[in-house]
Amino acid sequence: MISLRYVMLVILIFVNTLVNASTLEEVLEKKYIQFAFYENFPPFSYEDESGKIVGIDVDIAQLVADKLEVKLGKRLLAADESVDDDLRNGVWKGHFTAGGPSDVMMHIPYDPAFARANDKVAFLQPYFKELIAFAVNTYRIKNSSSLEAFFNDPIGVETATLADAYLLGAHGGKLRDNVKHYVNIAEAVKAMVDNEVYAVMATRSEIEFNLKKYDQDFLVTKLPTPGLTLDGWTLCAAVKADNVKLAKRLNEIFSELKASGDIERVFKSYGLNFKEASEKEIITPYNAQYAIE
Amino acid sequence: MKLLSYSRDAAVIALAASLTALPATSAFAVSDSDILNDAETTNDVVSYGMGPQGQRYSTLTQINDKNVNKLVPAWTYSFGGEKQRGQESQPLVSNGKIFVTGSYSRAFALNSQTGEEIWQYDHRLPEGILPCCDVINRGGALYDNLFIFGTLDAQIVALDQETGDVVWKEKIDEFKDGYSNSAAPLIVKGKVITGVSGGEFGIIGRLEARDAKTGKMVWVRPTVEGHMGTLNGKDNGISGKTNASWPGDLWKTGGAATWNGATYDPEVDLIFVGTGNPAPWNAHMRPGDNLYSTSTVAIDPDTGKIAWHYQFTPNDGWDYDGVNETVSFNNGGKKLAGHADRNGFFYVLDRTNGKLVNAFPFVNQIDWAKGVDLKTGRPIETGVRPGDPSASTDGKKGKQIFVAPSFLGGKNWMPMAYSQATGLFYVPSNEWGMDLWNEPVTYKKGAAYLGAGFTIKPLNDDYIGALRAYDPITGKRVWEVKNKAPLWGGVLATAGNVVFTGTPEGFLKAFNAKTGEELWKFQTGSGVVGSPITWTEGGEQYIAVPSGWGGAVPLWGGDVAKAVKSLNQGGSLWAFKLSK
Repeated sequence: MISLRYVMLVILIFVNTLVNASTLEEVLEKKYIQFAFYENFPPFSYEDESGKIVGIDVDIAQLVADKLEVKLGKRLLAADESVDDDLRNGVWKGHFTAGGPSDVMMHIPYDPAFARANDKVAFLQPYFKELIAFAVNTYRIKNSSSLEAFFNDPIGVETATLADAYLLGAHGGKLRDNVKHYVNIAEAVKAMVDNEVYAVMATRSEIEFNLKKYDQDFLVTKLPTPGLTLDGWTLCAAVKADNVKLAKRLNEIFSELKASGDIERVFKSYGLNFKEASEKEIITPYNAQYAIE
Repeated sequence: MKLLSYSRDAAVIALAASLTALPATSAFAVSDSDILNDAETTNDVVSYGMGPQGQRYSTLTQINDKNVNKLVPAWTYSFGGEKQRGQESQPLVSNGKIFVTGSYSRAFALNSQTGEEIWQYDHRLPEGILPCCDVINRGGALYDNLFIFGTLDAQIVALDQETGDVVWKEKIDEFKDGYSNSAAPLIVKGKVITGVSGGEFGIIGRLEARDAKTGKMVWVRPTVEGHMGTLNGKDNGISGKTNASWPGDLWKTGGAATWNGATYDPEVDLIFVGTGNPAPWNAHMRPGDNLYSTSTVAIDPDTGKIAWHYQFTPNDGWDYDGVNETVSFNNGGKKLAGHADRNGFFYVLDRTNGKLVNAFPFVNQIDWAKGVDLKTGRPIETGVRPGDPSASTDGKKGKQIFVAPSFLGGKNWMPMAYSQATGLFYVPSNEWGMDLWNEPVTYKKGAAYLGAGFTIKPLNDDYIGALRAYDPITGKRVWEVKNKAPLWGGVLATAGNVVFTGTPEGFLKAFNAKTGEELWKFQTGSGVVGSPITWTEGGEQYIAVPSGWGGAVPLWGGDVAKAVKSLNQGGSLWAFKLSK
């Protein structure tokens, strides 16, 4: 665990020094807001073949910047050990080699317990709900109603994801020998197309996006996952907790973008189904108490 | 072209005679025999460990237990810039130059008598590189006219000793995939031997041998069962037997990083490399020994084949990397090796075959095992293991355990010393434990994940670090010296009955090798977490050590990090000699 772990930040617009994220006034004055996104994370944030930073999170950030009438800075941030670390690197502190924090970071889980543990960050209202799903080759797996199918047949996961950790331990380890590990979901889905595995467990967004490339009919479904404590979570943008005015303004903008259907349109443009975060799952930003009048 | 087994005195004469006739580099070429004899030749330090066996022992006696209190600075050199942080390097000395690496993949060559800079090399790191455990480097290697060291972006760079110009540069692996390099390379039979540092997930430990003069790959030996090695570009047999000690396809991403380098002993002609923990972190997911994680692996330097292995922590569940150095020593006609593991036990192995000869605790509290069975060579576990997160169905925090040592180890990377004069090992150890629990819901890359939580806790109010002298044959602790902060620097022993080591509080200290009595200390201005060396030049014995607090403790140390918060960073090299 303590062997050296690397994370890379590609800083595209500013060469950072350790400075604070900008306040709303500074953003408006500079006409510039910098968002941090996870790197290598299709369909949310990734470099396309021409090297351009694209994706659902990037497009949403562009809509936010447009509403503010400022230019969008895009910074790709590789995942550290946990999102707690990512928030430190991306939002509230920065990193001693990679420079200062960005103004906003996308794709942050919205979870009260997680928010309490990260009190240096304000969590804005969530913009969608992610689900854990299975893609199943129903020609190979006839009874796709439970995980028992995979006591004997191979199933693909991305290494070191929730699906990986869950399946290795599920049903007392009975699937363990059939769990095949891939570096990302694109590779896992390709392995399913090639009949190396007969199913893939991952987030629904990644499954849907990667299946689009192939002209094959796989079932995308939920399966019973006994013991899995969480099979879905909502996602939001985050800013530094004391950046109160910016948090408040961004929160208004996210409300507008949700109400106008703009966010849903971005998901659809990537060929994805969109699931809204349900109403009970927040209106107020966590940790930015002063933003609420 | 290369002057084989040139004696150092002859080299000096040759220089005087032929400075203009020959390129200076060839006259001072560091040869294989120079490296093998490093421990005996006192006018240079041409290898990490002061000899490839890694004893860190010098036969010099000019500085000794009677006069070490008259040690004064000869010079000091600042690494400069804003790039300070942890300085974990060991310097090298040859041909009137001292070579040292610094944080952020920098290297420096100075006049070894005056400290005046000859050249500085700043490796161009990729934009925004973000290592987990500080930006340290542990040192370089000398060979021929080259100074060779590894970089944070997983490259190996060979510089001209005279100019600091790059002679060759090779990529070890993709830093974007989590690979890095921070250990000092080892030179064996004209080959430069390097391991890999890297992330928790997906990387595979391996040892590589390249032609030291050109960087051309000779062999690769993976340290995870099932992976194919190569020799001169051709398949050279897989390591171990596929799936013998791993379930499913987990061997493909098995970890076992070789991040702390290797040692070599010419008597048995074997390289000894330590390996890190297996992946994934949750041991319940990978029943089996998970070879060759948390082991010392002995590798033939000519073929890259595994001769033997000894595993310290089978099916590791506590993150006890086995990367600590394996130091060769002889006793009673036996060819032995000593290893002080993260897991709290000191192991004595027969280095001809890897069989366990002796094992004893070198820290006061070990919770995970009662001892090591000398017949089977396996630990006698107590059952203090983290719970299985997949067994928790209520979504609550899993069972919490407290276990000592912490994952930072009874001893971490910092090299111990073995004195041929006293027959004792001097082990920089730390007394700390950790709370470990499973978190049913954590988040990773914007998604839910099953994670583990930990907090490191000191075991005593008054100290964490302790420099300890052990008799490897009896397992008896001869003396100890406590230190408030955790010890994180290397140790040096000399025939002058002195043991040197540094402290995070900033002192370089000298102790009586037989009694542990503190004889001298000097405040270097920042924490000492590098490794001291000694050599003679112009008739005077020098001691040198880097200074600069940093490394894993302030980043990972939990409660301990709070205790060391006041320590300031730095970056300098200090040299000392006796006052006249």
